[in-house]
Amino acid sequence: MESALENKQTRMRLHDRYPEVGREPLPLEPYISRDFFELEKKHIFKKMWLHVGRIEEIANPGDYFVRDLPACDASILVTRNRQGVVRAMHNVCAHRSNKLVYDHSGCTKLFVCKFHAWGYDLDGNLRGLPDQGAFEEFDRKNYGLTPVHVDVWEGFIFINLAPVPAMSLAEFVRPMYSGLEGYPFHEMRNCYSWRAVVNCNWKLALDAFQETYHVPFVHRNSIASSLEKSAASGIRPLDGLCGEFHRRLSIAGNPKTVYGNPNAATGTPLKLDADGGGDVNSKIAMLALKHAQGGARFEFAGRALPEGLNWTRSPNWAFDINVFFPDFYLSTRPNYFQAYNFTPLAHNKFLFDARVYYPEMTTAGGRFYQEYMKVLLRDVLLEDLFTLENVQAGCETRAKSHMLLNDFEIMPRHSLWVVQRLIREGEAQNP
Amino acid sequence: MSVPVEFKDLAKFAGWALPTESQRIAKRMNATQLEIVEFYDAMIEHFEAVIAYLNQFPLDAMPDEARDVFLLLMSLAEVAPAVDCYDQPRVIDGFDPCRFQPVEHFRLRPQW
Repeated sequence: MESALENKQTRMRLHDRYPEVGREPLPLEPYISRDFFELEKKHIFKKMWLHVGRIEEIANPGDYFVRDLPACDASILVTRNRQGVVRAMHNVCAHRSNKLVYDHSGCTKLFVCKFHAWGYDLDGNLRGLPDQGAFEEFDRKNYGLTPVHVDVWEGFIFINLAPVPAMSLAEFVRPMYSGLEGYPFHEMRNCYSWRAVVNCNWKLALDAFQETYHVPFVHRNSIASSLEKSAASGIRPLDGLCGEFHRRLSIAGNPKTVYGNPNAATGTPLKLDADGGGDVNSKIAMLALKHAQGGARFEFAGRALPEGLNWTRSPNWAFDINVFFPDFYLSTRPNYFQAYNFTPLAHNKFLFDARVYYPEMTTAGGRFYQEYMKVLLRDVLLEDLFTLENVQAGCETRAKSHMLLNDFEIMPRHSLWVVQRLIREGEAQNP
Repeated sequence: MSVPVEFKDLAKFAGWALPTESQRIAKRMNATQLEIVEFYDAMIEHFEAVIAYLNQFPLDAMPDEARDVFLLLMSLAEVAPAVDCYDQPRVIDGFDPCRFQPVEHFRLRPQW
């Protein structure tokens, strides 16, 4: 028997705009299933452009870093060659397939395998090997490292493990994100990062970072007051955008808090109360805000931000959440940005690589503000991560089979919709 | 720890003058809330003077006694949430910080 309530179609702001993503409760199986993860590996992670880092990490010829990507069954070596070009290749020796580079990053002219000392240059060409005379004659050109597609957008390095990517990086990224081009990503040179292996599905984890419904509760002790609260309705985003792959959410802040004030450390007036009050719980937050002013090396004043930021033009806008399908989260604020990778390790485990990029600071006051912001962010992330492991464990009990989402939780729905669509298309072509 | 004479009240907090985030969070997690609040209150009392003093020096070229005061300032940021948010050293309902380690040797992390 269907109740009148269940037949009623409520007007929903975001769901009405994106009818293709559906309105039904979401099944939990894709978040706890080993088989589903195998399909994701095959049809998503081995085919799509994946973010792996910033060009500043390999600023000079010879610099390199390694990314282990279990969802691609791969370890990838990213280098800057002698000509300054970014290269990517499988981190696998051409001789007996040993892992070539064991460390995470460094600078070298030659990668020498620790198994039998085959040596490769920054482009992956085989340069030398011990006792070549013991081999039958072979052409070294055929025994280089296996190249991987690599491209750069706004300083972010992406790799693609498909033999031939279905689209270029620009074709993949720009339909949603061309409006972010010109953001001063390269001016934010103070990066703090943390890493954790978290016992949670990568989608379920990312979902907790693309809705604001949880903020007053999970972050009740920390930053709940820094987001703008609309009367009686909690914290809702200003707007959301759902694309073919990617999605965006725009968030309003409370400028009376150091965390929610987009002009902190920018030299722009802060619009605090006449009495200077704001963060009522924290004298220290206000001291940080006050002494941050003028502390940054980067000159913010007079610089226009790209039009793609704050697309609703809200006066209380604080930041945008930009999710690059599948697993890269980029939060852009006027004065700093966050870049998180949710790298899947298994169906119920991911590597959280969380980074926050601020401008360089020239004064102790500016540096104090930055340390305060960084520590608070880290503690807020500890609140999120604790919740994630509990949610995953809850899903795995199978006490429930579905989750019910509100209009402003559309991003988790969009995430699963894209994943399921790509798996469906991939299975149709190559089951 | 040698500190300038105007900050002699802070000398007893020498144990908080730690150069890395990993060391500072470990110190916070192993401190009692009473120790944290005592340190926090002393730093707040001297905050404006500390900033004015430290702002005389470039961040990457501080004399040793200024560096120690600077590191106390970094520890103040570390303990701020323990006082302002949680009223205890640890994050309430938080993930184990030992499992969420700062990447101290990341090349984009500032030295100071």
